[in-house]
Amino acid sequence: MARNDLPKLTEHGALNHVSVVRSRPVRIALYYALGGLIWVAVSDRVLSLMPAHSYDLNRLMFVGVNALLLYLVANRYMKTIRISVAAREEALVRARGYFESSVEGIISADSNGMIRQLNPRGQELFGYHEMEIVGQPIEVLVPQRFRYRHEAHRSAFFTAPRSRMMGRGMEIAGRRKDGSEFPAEISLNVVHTHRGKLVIAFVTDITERRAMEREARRNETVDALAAVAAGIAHELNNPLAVMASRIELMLTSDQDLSAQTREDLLVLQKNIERASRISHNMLSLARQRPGVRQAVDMNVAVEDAILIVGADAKAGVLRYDTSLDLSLPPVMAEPTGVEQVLINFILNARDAGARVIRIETALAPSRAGYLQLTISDDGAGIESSVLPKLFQPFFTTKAKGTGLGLWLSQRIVQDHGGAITVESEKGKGTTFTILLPTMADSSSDLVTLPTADKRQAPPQVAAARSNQSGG
Amino acid sequence: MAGQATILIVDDERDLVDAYMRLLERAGHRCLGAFDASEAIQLIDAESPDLVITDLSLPDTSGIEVVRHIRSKSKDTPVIVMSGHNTPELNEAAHAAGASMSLLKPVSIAVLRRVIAEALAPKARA
Repeated sequence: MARNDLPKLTEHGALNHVSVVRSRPVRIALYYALGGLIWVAVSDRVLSLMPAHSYDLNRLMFVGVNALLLYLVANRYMKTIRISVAAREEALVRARGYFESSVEGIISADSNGMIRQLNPRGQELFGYHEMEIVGQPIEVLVPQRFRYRHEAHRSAFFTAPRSRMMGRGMEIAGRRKDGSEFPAEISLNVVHTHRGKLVIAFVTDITERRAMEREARRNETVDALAAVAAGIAHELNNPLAVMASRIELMLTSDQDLSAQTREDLLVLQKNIERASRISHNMLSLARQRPGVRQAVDMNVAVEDAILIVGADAKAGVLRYDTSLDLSLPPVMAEPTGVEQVLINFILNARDAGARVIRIETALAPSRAGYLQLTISDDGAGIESSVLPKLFQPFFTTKAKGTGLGLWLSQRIVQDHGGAITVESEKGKGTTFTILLPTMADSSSDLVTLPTADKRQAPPQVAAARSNQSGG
Repeated sequence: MAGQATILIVDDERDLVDAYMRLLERAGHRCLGAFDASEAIQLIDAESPDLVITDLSLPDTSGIEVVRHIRSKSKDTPVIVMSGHNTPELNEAAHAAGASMSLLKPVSIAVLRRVIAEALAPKARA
């Protein structure tokens, strides 16, 4: 017990130690009294054995032994005090360290609800400097609408204090100096000090966690919607295929069609293709896992996408500029997914009123093992306020848009371990940059199925280096 | 032109089988149509087609049975599966059964033509 000088290192260890130090002098005084008593008894006996004339010697001995006793006791006391003070200082430094470096905001308040301390993280969270907040009621940090209730809870808490989470099952929020709020999780703890009870609150900002929860909920909703959409798309596929094939039959029949009929059929054909594309998009929504992957040459994919969309482009408005790095290694990807992403971006550029769409492929300058594909247009550009929402599902600025194209594209690219970034300026155009990991060893894992994506690129765009087509 | 190839088209959508048959016949192929798996299997046994195009969802059993049947008879007859669901599981099952390739419905005529030409090409060379 006497050697147990080091305090327990809780946040209130230092306070406990104060009481330990305080109890010590009493004990030392008792030792001294006991020591003195024994000495008196012993010296009485010694005196009785001594000759009567040695009175001075007796007095000297008595004082000397007493002085020695006093010295021993005082020395012991000072030593105890020194150890105690050092330990206490160390404990305080440690507690201060926890307090200062905590990733949680720490507030201490007295039983009147007055703030005593606010740690740096807490100052950061609430936007107050410690100097301006100490001495203020804790309710300053509580949103207005909760204040009244908070005061009642606080009084109740102090009558029966125990450590607990605050507002379990309730939304709780902290109020910053500027009046804004943040969702918080707060745990309350009580510390007994010689100056009364202190409440210590640990505050965690859970903005990020809330955002993740919201995102998860929204993903669930989107998944449910996607399943419905895919079901509908699936039902539409056969009728669309029947219509497309019948129109094809009519267009390729030997009978002479009037120019008007031919044009009508072409319009029908184009719209069925559009409906098919929407249906494909809807089907891909519900896709949970990526499909079969194979080595895809992004340059060929770009050229294919230009061909597919280019055929649809309204005459005379559109031109493609391509700058393709023909030495690019292939990417391990799902060909239909890649094609879909490229078509989505080209269609977006077209819908934004682009006259020139520039597509470049290159090795990513900033990231080894990745290729970079940029699609820039000179279209309407995107408002900066809209940019953050661009990849959200069901967000669209187009009258006829589904709001799924970019979201889907991002999902596909992310599924392939890549990323999409966007830069845009209103009135000047937009640039999307896609990063995709290239295959480390292009000879491995090749899926040797004949597919539509291995076809030869047509000559007018094949050997392109700043080539122009369409127009 | 790959010349006279016998192509079997299997789909429960009669209108679609009919249209595909007419389109492919116009391209100079001989076409057979089946609306379910058992009919398809009979035709495979009787006619030994050069190419089979089959839907995966058929009224009696899965198109994968058709793929298995043709593989049990011939190692290299190209089999193209079409499906309204592009799930990886279905794709994998079809390829495991021996399908040469899979297409997501609706398949445009242009794609179908190209795929058929490609599928028949190595045979013409051999």
